[in-house]
Amino acid sequence: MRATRRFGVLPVAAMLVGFVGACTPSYTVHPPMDLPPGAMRRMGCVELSVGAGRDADLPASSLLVEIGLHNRCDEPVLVDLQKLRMWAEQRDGERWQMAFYDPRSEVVALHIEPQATGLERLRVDGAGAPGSLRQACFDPTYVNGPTTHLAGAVCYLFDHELVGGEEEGSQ
Amino acid sequence: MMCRLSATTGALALSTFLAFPGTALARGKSCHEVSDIVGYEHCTRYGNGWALERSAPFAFELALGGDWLDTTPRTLHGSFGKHQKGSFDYPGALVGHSLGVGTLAMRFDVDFVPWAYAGFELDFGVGSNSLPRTSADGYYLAPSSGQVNSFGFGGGLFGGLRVPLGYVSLRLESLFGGRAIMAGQTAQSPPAAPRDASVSLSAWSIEPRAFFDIWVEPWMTLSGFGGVNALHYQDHFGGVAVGFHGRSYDGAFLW
Repeated sequence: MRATRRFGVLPVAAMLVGFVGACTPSYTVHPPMDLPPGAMRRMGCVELSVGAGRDADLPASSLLVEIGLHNRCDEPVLVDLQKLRMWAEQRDGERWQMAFYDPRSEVVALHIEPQATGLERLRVDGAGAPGSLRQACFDPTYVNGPTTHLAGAVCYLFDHELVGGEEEGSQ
Repeated sequence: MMCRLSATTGALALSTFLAFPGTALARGKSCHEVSDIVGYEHCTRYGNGWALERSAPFAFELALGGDWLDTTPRTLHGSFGKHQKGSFDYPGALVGHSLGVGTLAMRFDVDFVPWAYAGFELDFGVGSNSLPRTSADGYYLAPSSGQVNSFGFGGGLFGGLRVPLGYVSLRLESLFGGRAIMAGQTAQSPPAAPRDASVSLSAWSIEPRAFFDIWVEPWMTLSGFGGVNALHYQDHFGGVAVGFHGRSYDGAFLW
């Protein structure tokens, strides 16, 4: 009888609630960005897509960056997002590097599992205030190690911020 | 942070629930997530859901199979229900065949490295066994009526080595534990009326076993397995299993 109770209806129900609860968080979850086809770069086994836009909950000079990862191979592949080159070009012609907001220093080199897909949302600081930012660029060429093949930067224009109202940049 | 409704998530949740239900509940109460942005997250970390370093090196398997215990050199012990007096023993050779049950086994293991693992297993089984018409210790014994008259259980600790061969892998392991099968029999000690008795056969076992795994996806295997009891080679076990793995290809695709 004890065994029946232990593995009976209540634990199964609790497990189902756990499943559902784990995927219906109480906080605001950002919906996946609607990225253009050009937002994806392929570096060997790794496919990496970048999206960028403003977010009302972040500081005015920061961007919300969405990075999608996919390992197409059957072996783990090292991915180091600290090697993602990010820069902001201002309307006055100035250009400077942007950096991840990473107070716990958790953005480190990690191996993406074989055939795995991941999505990370990060705050990027140093983009410049709305109206001053012309475009933000992200070059993932070196995220999975040294290479001679340049992946090419993914850039988003922020011209719409001159008139205001829109949240996301455009490529 | 992400919500990947895959075999990994299901297996992780199921295994966590089965292995550490208190811990899982406590964590759910104490950790309140506030954001899905790295640096703001309270309950998850960068890399959760996709990084090898953040994955749990475990496997949970459900197996359907069969256990067969040889009766020949052993003694079967019969008893009655709770608070009923009486017992009897008779040589297993009178049965003339092994006692067998179809089993459902649950296995949980941890991979120490991609090629070595250890864990525990619990088996429960039911079956139908015909027992002899004989006499023992003053009882006249007869087969019980009914198709399903037997149940069994077993389990133990196991350790093994895995040879990753791409989309298949071989495992050689050994389980240290025991098994028991109980079968129904009717016993009568005249002039009393016939009573239902339970005849049990139990054995310690050291079971070398071989598994052949097919990776149907990076976090899921289908396996066939078989083994014998090294302490008594006529005891044998086998079946098929579906496995859910916390780490894709258990951490290594090829040897």
